[in-house]
Amino acid sequence: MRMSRTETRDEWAADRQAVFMTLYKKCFPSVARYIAKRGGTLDEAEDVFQDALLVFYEKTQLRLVQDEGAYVFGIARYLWKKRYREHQRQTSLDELMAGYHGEEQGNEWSQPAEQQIVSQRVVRILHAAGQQCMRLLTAFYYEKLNMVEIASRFGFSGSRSATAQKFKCLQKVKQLVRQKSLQYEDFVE
Amino acid sequence: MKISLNEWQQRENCLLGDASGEQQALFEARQLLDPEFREAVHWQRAAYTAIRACGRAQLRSELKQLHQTLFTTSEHRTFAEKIRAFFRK
Repeated sequence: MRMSRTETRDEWAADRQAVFMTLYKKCFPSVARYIAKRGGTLDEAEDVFQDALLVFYEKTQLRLVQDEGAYVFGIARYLWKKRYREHQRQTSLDELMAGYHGEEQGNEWSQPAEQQIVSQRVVRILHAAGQQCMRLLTAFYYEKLNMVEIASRFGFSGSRSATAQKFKCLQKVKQLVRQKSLQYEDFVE
Repeated sequence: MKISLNEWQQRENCLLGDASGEQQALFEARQLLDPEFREAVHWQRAAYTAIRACGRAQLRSELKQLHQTLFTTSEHRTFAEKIRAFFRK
């Protein structure tokens, strides 16, 4: 499984949705059965499975892995045990995953505690950078596209102009983060 | 302070672990010696974290929407019933 990297942004969004739909239908039943057998609820299964898909995406970017079903199930089982059996419901996804030694290592999200996640406040603040800027920046820093792929998706003449725009957008975000004095604790869910 | 595209790229390489050992060492040394530079690097690192947070929030929102579709539309009724059956005592 691998998403095409030459399509436009709308096509890409539909493609990503289709890939996750396939993954959901393929992998959720085994995760749901596992959690149900251990006394969990459907809501808990949903939360655990979606976190597992996030981790899977961040580790693989949907590039081919040998057995994605087993991979996702392994992450979900680990998260279930950590979050519900060890009662770490308030622990962030990155902190939980820091102890995971599954199929792949080296994701910066799984490293130090300060390299952490989301809050709706951060999302709201960064909206001020503009939708196009945030799409470009997340395409590079979250989806890990290279600049040639970004130039193609966003209609730039080449990777150099895309890079110039990326740094302009990064400057905007940096200023916003600085103005609001966002600290790492703001990124924790 | 306005910085060149080249400078942006160098800083980014150092922050994302793509720089050579020599570049990285110079980068670290400059942070020790130049408080203004150190502060700029701090906010750039925070910007990366915030951007990734937004990427994750967007994907999480898409996954929630997808779950909603699977469990509320007739097209996927068989799938939803199969899952719900696991949770019936």
